[in-house]
Amino acid sequence: MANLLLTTRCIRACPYCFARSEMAGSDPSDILSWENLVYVADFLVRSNDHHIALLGGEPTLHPHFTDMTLYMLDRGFHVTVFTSGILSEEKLAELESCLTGFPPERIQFVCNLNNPDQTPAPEGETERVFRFLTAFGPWTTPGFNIYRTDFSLDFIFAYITRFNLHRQVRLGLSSPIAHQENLFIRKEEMKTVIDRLYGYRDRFEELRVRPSLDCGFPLCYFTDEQLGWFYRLAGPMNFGCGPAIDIKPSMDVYSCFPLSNINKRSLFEFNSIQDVLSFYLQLHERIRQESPGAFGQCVDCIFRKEGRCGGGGVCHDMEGARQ
Amino acid sequence: MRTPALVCPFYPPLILKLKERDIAVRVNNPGDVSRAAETVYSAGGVPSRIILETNEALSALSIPEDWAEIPVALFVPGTGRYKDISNKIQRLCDFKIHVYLPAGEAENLASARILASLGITCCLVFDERAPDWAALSDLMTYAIYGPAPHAPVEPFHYSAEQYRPGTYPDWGSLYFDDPREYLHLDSSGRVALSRKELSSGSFIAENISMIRDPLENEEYVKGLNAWRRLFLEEHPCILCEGWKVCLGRFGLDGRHRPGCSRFAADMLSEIEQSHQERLDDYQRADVR
Repeated sequence: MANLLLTTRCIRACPYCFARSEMAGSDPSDILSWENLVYVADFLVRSNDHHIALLGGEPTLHPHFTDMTLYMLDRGFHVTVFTSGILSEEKLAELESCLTGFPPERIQFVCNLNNPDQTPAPEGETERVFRFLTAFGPWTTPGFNIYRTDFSLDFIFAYITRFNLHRQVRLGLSSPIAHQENLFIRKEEMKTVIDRLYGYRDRFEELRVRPSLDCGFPLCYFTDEQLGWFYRLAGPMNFGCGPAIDIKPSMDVYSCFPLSNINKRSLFEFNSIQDVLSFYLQLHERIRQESPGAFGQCVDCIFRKEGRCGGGGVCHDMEGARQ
Repeated sequence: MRTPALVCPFYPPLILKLKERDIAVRVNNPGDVSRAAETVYSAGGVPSRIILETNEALSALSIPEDWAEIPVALFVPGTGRYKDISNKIQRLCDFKIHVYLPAGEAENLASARILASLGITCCLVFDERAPDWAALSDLMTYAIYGPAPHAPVEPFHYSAEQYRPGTYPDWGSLYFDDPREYLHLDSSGRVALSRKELSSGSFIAENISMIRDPLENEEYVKGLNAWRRLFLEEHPCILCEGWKVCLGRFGLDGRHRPGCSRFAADMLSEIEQSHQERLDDYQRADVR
């Protein structure tokens, strides 16, 4: 599934944002054109890939967000929208009237939620998010980015119950950006983060909420007991690091936000999404070969060699090399 | 020679007299589409197209179930927002509807691509407003070389399909403007070679029964060869590289307009390349 950026503007300014440098360097008027949307749809159809993620910036800021989402649905795509949930009332009403007729199997939202106590939002923002969750709860998976070791998930559990959200939390680790400064979880903090996450096991079980780990978690930092618990609740986990494939409105393409400064190409240079993936897999492999790994134990790690663990991700390898 | 179909206004007394002919009926009211088709059937004819010309955007029109089997040429000024046509896409795909959009409106070039990508045939109408030639060129490339299956975008698809070296594919019939395919009648049955001549009152016969074999009609034959006059007049179009695929149609009333020549030349080049690629494919298939 490729990620398509509809716009590079975002309504929020999260302290951990790993897309910030890419967004800051973009022209705010750079929004996806219909021509490029049709090109991407054709490109994916030809690649036999019928899933797409729409993101930004904040994708709903695109003036044709509703239209473009409907178009992708009409083309037969399964659409995932990554959003902050912060929408104007008019846009929310438009979305409700146009999208709630589709089942959650066809369209889902991943709403990136910040803890209102730890990452305070400007006045009125939380109420807007609540309005979105009220309208689209059954279509929404909550997402949470961990950027500090004392993070709290209590508010997510409360939202899941209150707004009838999917019983799953997408947990991301804020990642370092190649050649840039940003807030992220450092390797020496990983163990603390994993232990704290495991500390919520009773709440996860009580509400039957599945933790879904995004990239960046290193396999060897989990105890066997923790791994067993995760597996029992959420099934197999993936600790690898592969290209996400982000496509900008200009049709620039890169591996993922944290690696957006490296080997940016144009989608027009490729014939299929498999070609793009193959290109960036080779890039990942080259970086891994040139780096001993982000963590000391990565050098001889059999799981890293077998590709079962990304050693915290290629972006951590880059950060290690930079330091 | 195939007998040309007749294009006439929705005037039942006239249509009922045109027994067993292929008839295209012009209507302005969406509610007349099925009535016009029924009238043609009642006359023992076949509706070659019901031509609906409306000032309403596609988003404002309803596509009723009873259009399912009627070939409709839907002339609209634009599509409106996608969210307002999304619920009509299935019918537009399943029914025999071709959507005609003015090429001079920039948004329509994007709309044509969107509709074609969803499987809906689109025809661009070249009128007094000059199109954005660069955007049109991009759309033409999509129409001819688009990487995924899509419906035709006219006149590009027709031109590419009909092209043979040394021939001059005239895409006027897509717009009911080619006397080999269509003759135009007014409500009293008088016959003209084109809609333009119909409007200017230039008729070749008082009624269609006077034209048994069109090729025996001097005015008709003269009309077929009208384009040759441009050569006698040393019109600038005849020196245009893209003449073979344009025949003066991208210009305005047979006049050049800025950008049309370069566009037509690009179009010819792409069509020639596409033709050659298809020949190469056939040859490779033969060798296997």
